[in-house]
Amino acid sequence: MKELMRLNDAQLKKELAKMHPYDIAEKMKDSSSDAPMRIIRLMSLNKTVEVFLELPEDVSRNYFNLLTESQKKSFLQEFETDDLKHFITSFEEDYQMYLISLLSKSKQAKLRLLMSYDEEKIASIMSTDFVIINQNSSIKDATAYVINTSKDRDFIDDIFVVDDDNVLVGSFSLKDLISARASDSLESITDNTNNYLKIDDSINTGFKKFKNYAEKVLPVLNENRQVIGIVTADDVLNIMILEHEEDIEKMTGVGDYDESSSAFVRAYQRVPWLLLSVVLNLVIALLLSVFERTLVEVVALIMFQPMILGMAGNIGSQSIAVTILKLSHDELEGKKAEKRHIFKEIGIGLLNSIAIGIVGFLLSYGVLNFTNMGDQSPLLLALTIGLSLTGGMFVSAMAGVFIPIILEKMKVDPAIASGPIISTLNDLFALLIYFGIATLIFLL
Amino acid sequence: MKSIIKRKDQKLLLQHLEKMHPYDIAEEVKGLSEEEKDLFYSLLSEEEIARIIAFMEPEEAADVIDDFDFERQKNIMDTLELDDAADIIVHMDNEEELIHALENEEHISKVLDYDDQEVGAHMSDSFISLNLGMDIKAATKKVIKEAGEVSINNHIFIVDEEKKFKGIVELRDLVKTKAPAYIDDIIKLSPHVLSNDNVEEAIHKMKDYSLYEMPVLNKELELIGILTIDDAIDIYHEESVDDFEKLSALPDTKTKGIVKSALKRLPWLVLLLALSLPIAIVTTRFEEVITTVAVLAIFQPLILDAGGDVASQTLAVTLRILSKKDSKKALKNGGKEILAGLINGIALGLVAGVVSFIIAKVLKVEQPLNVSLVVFISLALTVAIGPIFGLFIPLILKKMKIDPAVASSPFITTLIDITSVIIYFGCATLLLGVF
Repeated sequence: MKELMRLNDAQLKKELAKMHPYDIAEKMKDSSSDAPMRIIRLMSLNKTVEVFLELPEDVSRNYFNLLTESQKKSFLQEFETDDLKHFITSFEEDYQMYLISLLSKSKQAKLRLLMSYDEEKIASIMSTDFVIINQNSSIKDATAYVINTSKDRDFIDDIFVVDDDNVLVGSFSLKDLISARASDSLESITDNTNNYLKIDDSINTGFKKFKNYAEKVLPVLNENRQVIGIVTADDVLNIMILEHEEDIEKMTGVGDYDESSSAFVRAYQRVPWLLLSVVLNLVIALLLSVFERTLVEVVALIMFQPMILGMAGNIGSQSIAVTILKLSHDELEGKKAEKRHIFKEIGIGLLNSIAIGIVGFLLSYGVLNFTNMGDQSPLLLALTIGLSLTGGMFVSAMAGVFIPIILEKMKVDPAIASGPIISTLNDLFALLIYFGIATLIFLL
Repeated sequence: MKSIIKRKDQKLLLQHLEKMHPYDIAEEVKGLSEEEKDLFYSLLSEEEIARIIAFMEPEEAADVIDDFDFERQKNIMDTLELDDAADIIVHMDNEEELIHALENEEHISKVLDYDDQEVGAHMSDSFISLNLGMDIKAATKKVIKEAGEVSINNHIFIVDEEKKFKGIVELRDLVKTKAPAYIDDIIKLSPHVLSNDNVEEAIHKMKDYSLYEMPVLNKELELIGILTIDDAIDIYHEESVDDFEKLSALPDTKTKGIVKSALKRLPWLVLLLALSLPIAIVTTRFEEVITTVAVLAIFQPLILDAGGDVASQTLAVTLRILSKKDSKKALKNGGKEILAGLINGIALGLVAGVVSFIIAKVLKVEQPLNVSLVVFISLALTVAIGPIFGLFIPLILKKMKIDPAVASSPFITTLIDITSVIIYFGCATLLLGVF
């Protein structure tokens, strides 16, 4: 940054024009004082907009507020619609209205439309800055249109061909257009392989189409097969990464994790999750006190308590992970797929619970013969442990399959199934089974 | 499509396929019988086949061409993009022989030399490069000439006389700029990755810069390939499924069949079971205090859970940093994690201490104050120690060149259980006066 600032205005301007917006934003982020304002002054409007998109929201808002109203106007006008939506919605609601009022009528309409789409739909991330050409145009007209009329923010790497009713016919790439001879027909360079997104496709369906078709852009069509927008692969990658990181955060209860946040902020963010776990465990402790006599009589039970809880938790997180993964990839849509998945996981849960129960019986029998607490027979203790492993694990595996599916049906994010409530509930069941069986075997 | 194949009507088949995306064709072919498949491929040109199999899983694609005669195999391989060809060829029966026969043998064996985690294994050779100093007109001509041979090009990559990468030119800028002008006037700086870089890091970089094509350079900074966004999306998708599987000690979610899947998941469970046996053995060391204060058992899950929870939080954070940056960053970040653990340890310990005091009172346990003190101290200690496990275990694994993600939360949780048991019962032995 210091080196950049040493340049005079003309040199800096040239340097900035060559730099990638992300790098400029990274430099602006870490510097205070008036250097960023100088940079903003020296960049083209279009570049400034791109840099703003890379800045953290609070930083970009600060700089934005320093602009005059007419600057704000031309600034907002320069955004691609999907980015504009993102930028404007980062402000408070009152201010959003004011910002929207600064836009041209046609841009306002486009923005309102975009904001009306459900966040779960692929249409919510589409951009309306694309180029369509009538199928009856000549190569010459098309070239002139793309080169002269299209705006800088328009996506012109692929151009969409429509008929007189604006219905999608096909597409061609910029490369095809410039390679074409003036005497060629537009039809000859048009690719009729029509891959498209539907207006009501979910985000996941959209992702799947991108993954399968390996395209860098897909048009979004309405019910009449007219092109209303485009979704680009860079946005898809961006959201894929964000969503995945969110899923992992939810699964581990890390909260809205940011690398730069201090230890105190982190402690504060995570304490609710942990506190909930502690409180629930205390409730379990209270409930388990009914088994006090069993615990006093059969002290050896405590040796294997962590094993039983741990194994129930392990098999539970396996089935939760599979189920959440399938749900988030839309692989459980329809009764049949759902039934098949549930049936399969029940089978796997049953087999592995029994297998681990048997192995657990053998191993604990070995350990108890080598070192024991209290005076109960190792065989009976090992039997208790084996049975409880099977019972506790099977219950937990079932919870891992059904709870995410039920949560999804209730329109709750299934990823919370891996949170403390469910795992503590599993603990409770596993311990009830463990102490219950022990009471039956040793005290009755 | 079946009826067209039966009639062996090549023209009609090509007409039918022309409007279909190769992925959809590949999907439809899956539904054909072996006989129909053979007939289908016999009607297609080598280019057509290459276009379709590029969208299949590499194993499937290899199955398709394994049956072809050598000449046909060679031609298809030569038509495919480098990364696709490399993916497929390793699954073929006559891999060695075929590689030697290929036109770009040298390139393909280079791609095959890269580890799957490296960018080099996924790069494509389908790009156009121009030299610095070229004038716009000549550049446009060259682009037009080469455009037919490469599939994607938003960007044209610019190199100097020594092939060193200098930057990019956007096709739209090239088209819109009027002569007289030179490439140097419209060149833009571009981020790049090295072919030995981690591919996940490269994908994150593509995301940060919103790139469709990421230039890949060798150590001499010469341009040797590009990573395209469609490959990036594919790779990231697989990596994210992997993350899920590892986080929950799941070997593979794609396996079909109940018994098979159960058998795949079983070894991990058995391993975790075996790992938890030492807990039982350690516990017997504290027999005295446990027999005297049996109520300790009911607070044990609380201590163990909390320790496991914080450890897996730090683990998730550390793994994420390791997937993007180096160990130093993770270590620095780990300092904050440990401090956060300490703060939370004291906070949670206080809450649990107070509540357990009340419970102990209600249950009429002897020395209720000391029991709650044991809960307080051991919870605070466990929560403070958890992050240390979550931080150092993946770091040590990385040092040992083992994928740090092997340390899934089930493993960490089991390991930390042993420590927690020692802390808890150790504390109890000291405080409850049983020696």
